[in-house]
Amino acid sequence: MMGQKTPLMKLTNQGLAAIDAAFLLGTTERLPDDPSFAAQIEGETVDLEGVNFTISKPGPESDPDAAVTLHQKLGIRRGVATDSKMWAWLATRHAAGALRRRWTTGERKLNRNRFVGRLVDNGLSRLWWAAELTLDDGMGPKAHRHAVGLLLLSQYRTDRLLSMGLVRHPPVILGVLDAIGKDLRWQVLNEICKRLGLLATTYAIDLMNREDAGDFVRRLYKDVRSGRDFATEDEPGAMA
Amino acid sequence: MTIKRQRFLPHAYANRELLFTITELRQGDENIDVDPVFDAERGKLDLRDFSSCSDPILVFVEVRGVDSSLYEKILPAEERQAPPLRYLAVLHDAAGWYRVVAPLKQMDGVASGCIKFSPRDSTGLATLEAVAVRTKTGVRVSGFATRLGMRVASSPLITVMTREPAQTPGGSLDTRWEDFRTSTHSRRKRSSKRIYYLESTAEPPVLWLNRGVTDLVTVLESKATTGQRAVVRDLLNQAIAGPVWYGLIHTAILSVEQDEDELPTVREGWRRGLLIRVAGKLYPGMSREQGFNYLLERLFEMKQGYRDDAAVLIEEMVAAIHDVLDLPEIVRRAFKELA
Repeated sequence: MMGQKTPLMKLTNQGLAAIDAAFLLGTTERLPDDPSFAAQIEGETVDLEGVNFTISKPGPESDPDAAVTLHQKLGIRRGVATDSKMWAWLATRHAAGALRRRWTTGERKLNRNRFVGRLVDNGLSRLWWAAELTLDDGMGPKAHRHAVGLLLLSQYRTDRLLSMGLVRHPPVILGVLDAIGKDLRWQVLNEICKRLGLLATTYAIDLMNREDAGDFVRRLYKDVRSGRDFATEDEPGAMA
Repeated sequence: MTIKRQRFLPHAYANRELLFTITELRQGDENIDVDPVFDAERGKLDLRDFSSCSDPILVFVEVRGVDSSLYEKILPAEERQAPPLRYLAVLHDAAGWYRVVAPLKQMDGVASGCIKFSPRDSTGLATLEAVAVRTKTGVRVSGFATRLGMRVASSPLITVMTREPAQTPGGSLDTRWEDFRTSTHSRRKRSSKRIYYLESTAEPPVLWLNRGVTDLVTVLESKATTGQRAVVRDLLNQAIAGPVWYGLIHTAILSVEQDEDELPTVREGWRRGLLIRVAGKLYPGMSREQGFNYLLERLFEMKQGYRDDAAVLIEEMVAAIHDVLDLPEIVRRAFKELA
């Protein structure tokens, strides 16, 4: 059932400044309803009742389902989804508890960027964009869920691919995922991304369809793997 | 180690030589008159008036002059009879999170097709271009691109204004109001008549605007789209934006360094974002990534003292900032208001 549409907001600079250590610790449960903390995005509304920000088992394994659900229910378009301050508002006003549970792991401190960071870092926007950029024309729900799962398979993979403008297009990112499958060695992906960046100066990788991108990356993947051994070291700079 | 220029365009490349134009526009069942919205000379397509409708916009495009004169520039002689090329139209949103690609069908020296996009998926500004790409790998011939998937020609870019920007101009720069007379910052307090103060030592930088200047808040925060107040606001914004942009870019340039592979790089965040935007204006014939990498190479060489044309680069950067800020459009509207 459709809920009531409410205006979509974005955090102001004052709102961003309010996301402090107390907020991260949960002393302040969610961003207070202060008009100076958020401003309305003109003409944009959202059905927040339809979105369940509560994740039953918060953890990396729940990310793909959370991503698909968030993407389906939120009903926003890419134009507004590029606004990091909109995601900061959603994260701090409506999903603070869920994000704290998801990103407080072991002894790691919760990173502020999971609430107010770039699109790649924000705990909600990274999920939404992972689902958006893996949804190609004519794709069924099962295939989409599978592709989202592949993209969210490791934190390094998600960060690396979403950060790379070249692959932020469903046919290309799906081609990359088709080629590398479940190989989680961060060095392999890092090397592939570096080579893709260089080769894109002469090859029209950004315009390729899924099949061509997959074939192209498969050749790179084969070449990278045959070039040297990659140890299974920890991912670099993993962020809580 | 530095990257040589040839790495980026090592082969024959018909840079911006595809004759690309818009022939028809549609939204839903409605035709949109092309002439009032498309300035072919300046390469600008203004579709902002059609952004409120949720229907996608269909842009029918053509590349003319797809014939032997083009092939001579980009293909080895033995391939010119049956050119292994396909043509694509591509729309890139300026924010880098939306791209639409459409194949063009070739017939009688013209490649034509339709690209469909939704204004609501765009952040307000996009570019539209045509490119020619190889469809198979040929025999290697020096000076020519011969491998499948290589880009061999492009058209001039058409700037597409898709809708009013979702974010306010300069949206990512932290802008704050303060009465400089009562500021705790010594430099702002000392010169309390200043209109603005760029604190580029803050991370990320902060642009402080002086609330103590009479009417400054009213004018700069005006939502007017026409009239004198809008003109004054836009000109004032430009007067502030020019030096602020240059200051921020200068700061970004200072942080260009080499990564572990000795390739020039700049750290993630606002520095990278600014240089990517300027690179797009400096090298419109290259892709975003290509232009950015090439700019980094030039900046790094300049920092190392390898280049004796640093003044040329600075001159180009100032012109690129001018283009990013689109001063001619602001001036045109101001003159129109005066008339």
